[in-house]
Amino acid sequence: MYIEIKDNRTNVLACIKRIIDNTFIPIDENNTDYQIYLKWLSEGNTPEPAEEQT
Amino acid sequence: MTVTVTKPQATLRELLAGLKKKTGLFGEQVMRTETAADFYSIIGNNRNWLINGNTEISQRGDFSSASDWPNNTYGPDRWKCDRNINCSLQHVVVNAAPLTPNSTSTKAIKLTATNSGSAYMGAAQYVEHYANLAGKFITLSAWVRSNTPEVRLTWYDAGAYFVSSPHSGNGTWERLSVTGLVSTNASQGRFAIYACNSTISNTAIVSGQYFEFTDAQLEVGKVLTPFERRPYGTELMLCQRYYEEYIFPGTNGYNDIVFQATAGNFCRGSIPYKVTKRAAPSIGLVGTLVAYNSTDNVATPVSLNLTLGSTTNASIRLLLDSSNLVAGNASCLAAYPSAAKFTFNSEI
Repeated sequence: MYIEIKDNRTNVLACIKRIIDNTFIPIDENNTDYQIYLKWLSEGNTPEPAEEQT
Repeated sequence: MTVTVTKPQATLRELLAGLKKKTGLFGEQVMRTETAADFYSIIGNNRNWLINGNTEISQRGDFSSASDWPNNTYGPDRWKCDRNINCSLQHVVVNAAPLTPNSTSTKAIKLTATNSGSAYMGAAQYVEHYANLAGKFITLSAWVRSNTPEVRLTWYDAGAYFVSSPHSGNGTWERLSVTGLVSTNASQGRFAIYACNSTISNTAIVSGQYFEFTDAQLEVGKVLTPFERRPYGTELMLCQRYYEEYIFPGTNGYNDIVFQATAGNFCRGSIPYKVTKRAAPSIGLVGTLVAYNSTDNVATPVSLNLTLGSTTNASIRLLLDSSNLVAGNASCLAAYPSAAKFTFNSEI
């Protein structure tokens, strides 16, 4: 469903990738897609491992 | 002693003549207002809280041919499908004259059921800053045409629905409206038009049943006023607060943008938005982009790899399919083999 994407320069979570439509969701609590992601997390789901960034 | 009698300023005849004066449509409405809010809702600009009420803006696509409208997706700007039965979306030309004596609207959204069953189908719009309407009367209206007598306007507020009378179902354009008081703890405004029963639940829907709507308006006050048509450019910018696209033309297009190749087989850059967004948007890439090298003779496919949120610009990193770009060099992005676009979505 989702993959967490970290910025390799800072090792900080940069965005969330929604796999089904390859959409990149920002870490912004006003973003509706991010709100849905947070709800999905609260239901006990876990994102796929972060993609390797070199 | 002299007594002076003063003639009144206005005679009964003059008063009666005044009652016969034609005030026109707006004059009548002004005279009927009960509150200052009602009055200013008539004479003020930007009184329509809905955006793209006449449905003319459609950045996501043409929709001129009827096709499936998936649930929870957007069609013409700001209008989102809400259904539990299959239906099609078509952005139709309004040609059943007269829609309304003062209307200049040319487009309408048409939903047509493609299945039968006990269900509902509709289109909804979420209104930002709805809490500012708390404690006020508001009026929701739209011009509607349908072949089913189960089409209603509605909004949801604090656990309750406000519902208009239904369309007659005789296939003509009718203006539906509903007025109600917004709760004092209003937080989210969701305004919609549905084929549904009177309690906004399932009704008997038959394949082929349709409704069209345009000139949707949400205004403060109890008085229904004519649809307010804003300039196209203004309406487009209002829509782009919630959604916009950066479109690359097809092969050999020159609408390139310049990114910079970086270590790790990436290229990165920034795209400013035309309009500041409501929130940092979700970013997508539709179609295929390639990155050209500095001598413009090698094109490498790229894929979206990382984005950083902002309400003013998109910071984007793309992953190169091959390592034939030199880190530090500029790289032009272009669509190949057909058109491509970035989408920026911060809908409510």
